[in-house]
Amino acid sequence: MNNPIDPRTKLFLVLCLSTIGLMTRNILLLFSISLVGLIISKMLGGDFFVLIKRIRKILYIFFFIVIIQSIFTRQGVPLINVGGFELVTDVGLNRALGYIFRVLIIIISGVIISTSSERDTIQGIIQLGLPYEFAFMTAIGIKFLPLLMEEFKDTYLAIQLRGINIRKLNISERFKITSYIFIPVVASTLNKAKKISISVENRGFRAYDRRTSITSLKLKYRDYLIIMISLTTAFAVIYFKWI
Amino acid sequence: MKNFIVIKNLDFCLDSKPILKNINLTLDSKEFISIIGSNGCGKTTLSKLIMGIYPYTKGSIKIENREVSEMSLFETGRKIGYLFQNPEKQIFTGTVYEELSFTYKYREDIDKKKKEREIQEILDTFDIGYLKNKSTFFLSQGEKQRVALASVLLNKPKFLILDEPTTGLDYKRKEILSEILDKYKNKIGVLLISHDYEFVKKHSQRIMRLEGGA
Amino acid sequence: MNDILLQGKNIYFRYSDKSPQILKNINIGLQSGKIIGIVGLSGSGKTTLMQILNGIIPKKIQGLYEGRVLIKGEDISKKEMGNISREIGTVFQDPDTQIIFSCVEDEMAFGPENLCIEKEDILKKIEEVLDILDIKHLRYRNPNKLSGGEKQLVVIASILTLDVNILILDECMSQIDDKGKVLIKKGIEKLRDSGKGIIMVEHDLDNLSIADDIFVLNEGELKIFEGTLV
Repeated sequence: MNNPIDPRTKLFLVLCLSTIGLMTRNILLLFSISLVGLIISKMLGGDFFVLIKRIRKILYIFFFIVIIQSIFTRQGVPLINVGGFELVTDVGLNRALGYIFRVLIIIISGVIISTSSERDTIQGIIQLGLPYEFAFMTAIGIKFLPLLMEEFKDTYLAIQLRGINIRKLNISERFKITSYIFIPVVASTLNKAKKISISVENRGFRAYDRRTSITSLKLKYRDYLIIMISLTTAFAVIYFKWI
Repeated sequence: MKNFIVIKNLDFCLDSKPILKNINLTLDSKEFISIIGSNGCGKTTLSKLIMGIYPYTKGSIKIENREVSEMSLFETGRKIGYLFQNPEKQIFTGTVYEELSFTYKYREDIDKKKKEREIQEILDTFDIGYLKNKSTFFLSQGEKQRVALASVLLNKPKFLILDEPTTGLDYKRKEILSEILDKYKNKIGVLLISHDYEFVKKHSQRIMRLEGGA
Repeated sequence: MNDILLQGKNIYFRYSDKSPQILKNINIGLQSGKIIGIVGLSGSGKTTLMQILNGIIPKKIQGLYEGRVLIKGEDISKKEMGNISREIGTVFQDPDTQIIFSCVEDEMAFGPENLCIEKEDILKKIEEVLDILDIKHLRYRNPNKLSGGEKQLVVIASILTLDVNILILDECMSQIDDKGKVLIKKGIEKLRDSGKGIIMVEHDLDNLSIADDIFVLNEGELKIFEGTLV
């Protein structure tokens, strides 16, 4: 990944986006932040829709929760009334939308960060003054998530390749199949984690208090500009109490 | 059956990188054919395309005259048994017996009355009777491979794809694998993906080399 | 007379009271400028012996262990893992548990960066190793997306950049094709000629054709191999 924007700039951008996202309840503002974040991620070369495609199964569960939340909120003016039962109120809808946009902002933030290589991100975190171990562990943790997803996917695939038509199974059988996937995947991941820790120690990890680096990041004019604009915008939003 | 698997004009790219170019291949149902080639040439990719694990857009792959792109994974799995390079990926239960029973539990088209007899037969064929109640977690690499292969063969596929089955096996375990393959020769078709030329030469009726994606 | 880089003396090991004795009275010595090959069946204890020689047992993996391992005369039990990594580089069997980054160059730089080697020297070493293993075309590729054999070459490359004097290769050629094996063997021979000591553990005797001495690990005992390589 040869992205011209410094990973520290991206971290800062993400910090501004997510801070406003967390502090505001204004749906229009949340929508605007999500849109701005999406445009930024696209300009940086990130592919939001590829990530959405990968996590779509989790998103179904998430939307289900959102719908439940909006249905069971009693406060506010009823918007959808079914046989005298207040299904959705304006407060409920507002909360649900707020929840959706905040999660979207988190996903978009992840996409923005991922447009830098993990090596550059680690270097950026170190140059911000944080310990190398922290940066390294974070990067490894992030790396593990897609590995875990891959393992789940491969095991699920292997089950189907045994000729099992999962769609024809009843709910309890499908649930049982899921447990078959879960246990070997977690066992394998824990095993891998142990081996990785031995491997990195074998390569001198934490042998000394300091370490050198072939990468060195320098903030350029455009980085400072982006940071200034982000800071000013975030400050303005908070100051003018749009929150 | 002649032309059990037919591949025509297959092109394939992964992450915008061309892996396979204009692949044409025909495999008969009782034939033992091997594909050899250097690391990264696309051998495993080809096997995954045949199984429908990777989707293809250019060319055609047919199993028993049916286009693979129109089949579900469970349908290809019922026709072709696939042994992963890492057998751990296809072992998901606690004991060897549970692993062998797995398909009987969840497939609606298999005769469950024959389960015990067929499991015992395969334990004998593979000489893994002593592992019957052993935890799959404590199996050695060679034992895992035999259990995975046994589980796949219990599905009664008409064809078998073995992806680098000799990786990590010492000469003794290779001999055991050889003996097992000899037992199934001329009963079931086999596509062996390997860079172990000695093993390939010993078993194959046809050897094809994959180089530069072709 | 070559220096003795690594010695294992009177090594005994079992994982617990109830498990079988895996290693019995192993004595082994590695000189500079030499390649030792160790062959044995699966489960014979080859990897366990390597884990004792590079300090993983007993520092990271517990068991009932007796004996001594010396690096240039110094007892390994007195050294931290980090310091051991300045002397011994190990390539394990499974490349997926040794690859951390999504760029081959970053992977190769990781070890020397940990050992505080200067940037210019690291880059020079990377060039050198890429050349030895003929994998310059992989420099900026994502190692997670390479084939099994290519991954293993990257792992070997990332250990070679450590510039250690002792190299332990634990079945590193199991996933590599003939062309790759030739390259790796060539690279290992160059390292041997530059004075490094190398221990290679393999299933396949053919992979040990470059070894100066070959030992067989059988039923926990290490003996000189007395056959001939074909």
